[in-house]
Amino acid sequence: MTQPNTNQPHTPTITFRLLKPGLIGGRMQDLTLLIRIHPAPAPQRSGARLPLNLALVLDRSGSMSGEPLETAKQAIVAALRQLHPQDRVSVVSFDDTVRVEVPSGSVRDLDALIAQVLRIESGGNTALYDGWLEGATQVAGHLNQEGLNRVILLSDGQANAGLTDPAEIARRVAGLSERGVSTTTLGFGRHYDETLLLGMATAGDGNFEHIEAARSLPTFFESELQGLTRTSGRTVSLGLEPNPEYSTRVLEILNDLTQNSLGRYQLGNLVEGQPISVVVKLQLTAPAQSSTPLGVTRVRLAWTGLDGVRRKVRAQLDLPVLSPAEHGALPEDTEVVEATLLLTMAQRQRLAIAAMDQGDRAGATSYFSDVVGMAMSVPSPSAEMSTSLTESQDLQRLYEGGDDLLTRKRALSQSYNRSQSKPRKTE
Amino acid sequence: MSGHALPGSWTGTLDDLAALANTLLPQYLPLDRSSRTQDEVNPRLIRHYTTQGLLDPPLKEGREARYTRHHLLQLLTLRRLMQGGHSAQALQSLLTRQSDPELEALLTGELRLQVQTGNAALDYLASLRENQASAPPVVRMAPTPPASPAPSSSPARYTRLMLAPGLELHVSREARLPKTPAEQDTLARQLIAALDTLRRTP
Repeated sequence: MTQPNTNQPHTPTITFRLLKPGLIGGRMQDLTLLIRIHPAPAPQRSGARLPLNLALVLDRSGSMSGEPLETAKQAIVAALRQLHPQDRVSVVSFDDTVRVEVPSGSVRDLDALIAQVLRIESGGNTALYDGWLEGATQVAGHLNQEGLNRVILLSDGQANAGLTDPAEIARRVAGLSERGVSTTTLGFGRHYDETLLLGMATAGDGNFEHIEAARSLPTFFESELQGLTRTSGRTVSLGLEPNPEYSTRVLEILNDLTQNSLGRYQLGNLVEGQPISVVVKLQLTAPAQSSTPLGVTRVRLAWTGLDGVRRKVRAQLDLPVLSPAEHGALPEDTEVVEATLLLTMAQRQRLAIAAMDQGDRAGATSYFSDVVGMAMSVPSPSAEMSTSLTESQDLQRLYEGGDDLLTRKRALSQSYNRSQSKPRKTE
Repeated sequence: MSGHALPGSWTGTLDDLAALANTLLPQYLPLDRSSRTQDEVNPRLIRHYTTQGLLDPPLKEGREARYTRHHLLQLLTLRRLMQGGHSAQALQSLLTRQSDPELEALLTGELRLQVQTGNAALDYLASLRENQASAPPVVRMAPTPPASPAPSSSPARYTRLMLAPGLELHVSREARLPKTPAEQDTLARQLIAALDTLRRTP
């Protein structure tokens, strides 16, 4: 079921799929609804993408010394090479002090930029907030109302110098995001603070990535840039408007999404080629008969375009009323089955993390094994489900082996990626 | 995240407005701030906002001031925006121009304040730096590579600035001028350091 696109440029398309596309007449019933949001292509100006305004903020604390820092520098160099001359970029590094390695400027003299990045050396503590603040200032100084303004921060450690309170840092990041500069965080290795970095990325309307191997750093920088160049909307919110006529109500939303005070859900940026899947369970009572399809719910999607204008689009789900026999004969949509299962697995992973945090090893073990069980229960798994199975088995082994630090980061990252429909990257 | 719902329509006294605003306010403020008592409003503060032109004046009913849902929305939005780092000055007579739906959208963050003078992001970051309880972070410019002789093929063009008697500054068109306080500090220090080397040279 596809709702007609309103033909505005850069308007995403919303599609609905149901476990069974019909209602049973005269009954109260539960519905499983898969909402897919297909972002529009990114806007262009005279045939080229809109310019980026970036700060790359690099942790050069002592723990980064050696291969991690060298690889991170190479990753930044690779990222610089992908930029266009009209883009702006700055490079900031931090240990207990912050250094502006490259002040915000256009990418004209690439060789000089690269030389400056390669000179970065490792040092002492981790003044993560101060590093972010300087990177943010470099971006804000050249705020582009018709482009993307973003701080990309890479860290491998706990913030232990300057402001360190995760809630306060997230509040400040959110304040800046409201003013047009977003923040992405890349957590590297096994010792960074995943709660802080995930909180910053969520508050910052950017991405959070967990990276284990130094050699995969370039992949993550590259995909972040690719995502930015294909973005058509930011500060995206999804509202559910069930039809009160049939006492329709939302029982559950399977994705782990932050809600605003109007009950709308915060989604990630609209990136071309990266559809967002949200699974919702609804309950309603259908009348005994109806010659026309019933309007079950509306969905409202709002976003800020790259021109800074807030836009919204609504789509309505209409379903026919069927007899129990007709409804029974409908096959289940395997895509909805799989999307539901994948999100339920992500929910279990979050429960496992909560159990770990409470020191409940038995509980966490049982949740992790639930996830494996669910992935194995699929008779003919898709490629995505097969990958999820392998990942969940690896996670189970990692936890059994006693590597709690890495288990928690991986579980959090996998569950976050699933809730946000982030594409998988293989390390 | 249910909290108390915003009433569909409402009127009340100044005291009623303060009480209702304090019940509703926590859900619109960041979680970590919602429990702080200094975020509460009182009748005196509301009158102050009114005289400042941040809120519409109340209606009169006999001798008593009557406030409406519109005042409530203005007050909640004002507190939320101030909390988010907007100064009262920037908000002056801005909220009094907004309709109820616009105020509601501002309140929930659906809509962001567009009417800003200058650069809102930069102002916000400046306010963060000011509020920093600890000493400001030390920010340095990365050391610049040793100067290499410029290729002599095309003569570079410089602007001469007289800084003090006997002291001139030559600025090329390509020079990157310092913008952030950190960058300016660094340049000042580099200048002093350069002059120091001169002093040490016999």
